[in-house]
Amino acid sequence: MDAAVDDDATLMLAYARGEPSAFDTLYTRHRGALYRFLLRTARDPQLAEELFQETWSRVISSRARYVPQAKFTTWLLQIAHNLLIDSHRRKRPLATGEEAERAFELTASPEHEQPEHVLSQFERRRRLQLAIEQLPDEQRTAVLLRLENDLSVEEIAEVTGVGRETAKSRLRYAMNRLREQLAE
Amino acid sequence: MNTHDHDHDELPGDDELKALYRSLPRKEPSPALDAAIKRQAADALRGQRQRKLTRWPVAVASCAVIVVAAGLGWRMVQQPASVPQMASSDAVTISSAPAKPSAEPALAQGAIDASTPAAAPVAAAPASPKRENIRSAMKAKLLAPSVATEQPAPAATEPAPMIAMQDDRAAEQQPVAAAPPPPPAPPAPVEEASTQAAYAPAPAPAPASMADNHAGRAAMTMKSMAAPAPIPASNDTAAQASDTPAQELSKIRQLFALQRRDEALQRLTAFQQAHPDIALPDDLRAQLPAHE
Repeated sequence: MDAAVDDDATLMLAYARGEPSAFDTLYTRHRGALYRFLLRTARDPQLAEELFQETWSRVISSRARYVPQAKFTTWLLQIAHNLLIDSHRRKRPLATGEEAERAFELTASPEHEQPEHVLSQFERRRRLQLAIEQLPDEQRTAVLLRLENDLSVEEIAEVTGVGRETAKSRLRYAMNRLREQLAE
Repeated sequence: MNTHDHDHDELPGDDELKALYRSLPRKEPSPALDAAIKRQAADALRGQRQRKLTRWPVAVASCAVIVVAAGLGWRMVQQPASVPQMASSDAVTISSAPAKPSAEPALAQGAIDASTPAAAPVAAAPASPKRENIRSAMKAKLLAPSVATEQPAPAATEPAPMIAMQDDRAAEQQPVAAAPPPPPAPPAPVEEASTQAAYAPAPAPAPASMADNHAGRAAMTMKSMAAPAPIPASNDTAAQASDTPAQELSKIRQLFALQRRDEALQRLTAFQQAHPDIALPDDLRAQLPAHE
């Protein structure tokens, strides 16, 4: 575990000891990346919010049993991933491609970019979003854990509960698909 | 979150894709959601503190229960000593009633010592006679079947009435030294009277056999009280604090196999709560009721 991980674990342990400010720090540090991971994996903003809240609820209720054996991020994403798999079982209708795209575009684009550049970048982003959207669930999860959460292959394998080679294969295949989509 | 070094995981086009991905809208949870989660975290800590504050009365109560249980246990260990008095609880009352046991005639004391060595402390104990009565009555209930079936049982119950009679005589002879004479013993059952008559003239061989009977009965009493209840088959699937997650999942599978679905689902849900980071195996996940 590196220094940042130790810091996360320390915060979690401090929260378990009764320091609410430790949780606030931890939450602020991980909220964005976790939310985006869930949003883009679940492809349903409402479901993503539910899973986001449920993930943190599990973190809160598990505080007394928390043992810093792995990176906090890995543990957090494991919880989120398990909840995602459970939600897939519930046969909730997923958002259509258009809805998902709208969900991704809710945030305004940077305004300092030139019109031509903005158009080009917009097109590339749109293609990337669609390409991610069209990936099979397992590949999408793997590539989002890589791009959004910057996890290593080993960590992706740990979060998704598969072997390293399986995780690497999914990741490689997904990234090839994304590059192909962008090159078209 | 971005803390890992990917020197060994370089994939072609990784950096380019990451750069493009980072240019995507950085959507974040709403402030309302943030507030709800932070409030939940703070509430959990508040509840934890309140539980800690209200824990000490529970600890005190637990200590009190342990002390009472230890006291009862100690009394139960001593219980075999009062076995001889079980047939006539009034006899126990009579023999333990005198305020000064040492003032009893030597004959009576000798008879007690010789015939029921284990009963001596009880006869001489200044403990309240009522408690002895209750204990004897309980023992009589416990031992009723064995008394009914065993032939030598009446012999063991004899000394008490005899001692009572001797006590009466001694009280008449020494009215000053002894406490007020105890009330006369209630009429013994017919069977008891007959056995008493049969055994009274020859008390000599009785002590040895009585001692054996006492020991045997004491052992039976202890057995009947200490024998553990048969372990139910469901104990194999009972949750243990020391169980590993794999063991717990295995027990949950057993519950499903035993058609105890409700219990299994309850345990499965509890497992999910306790180990949110552990993915459920497909077979168990399939058992969960589908929502919506």
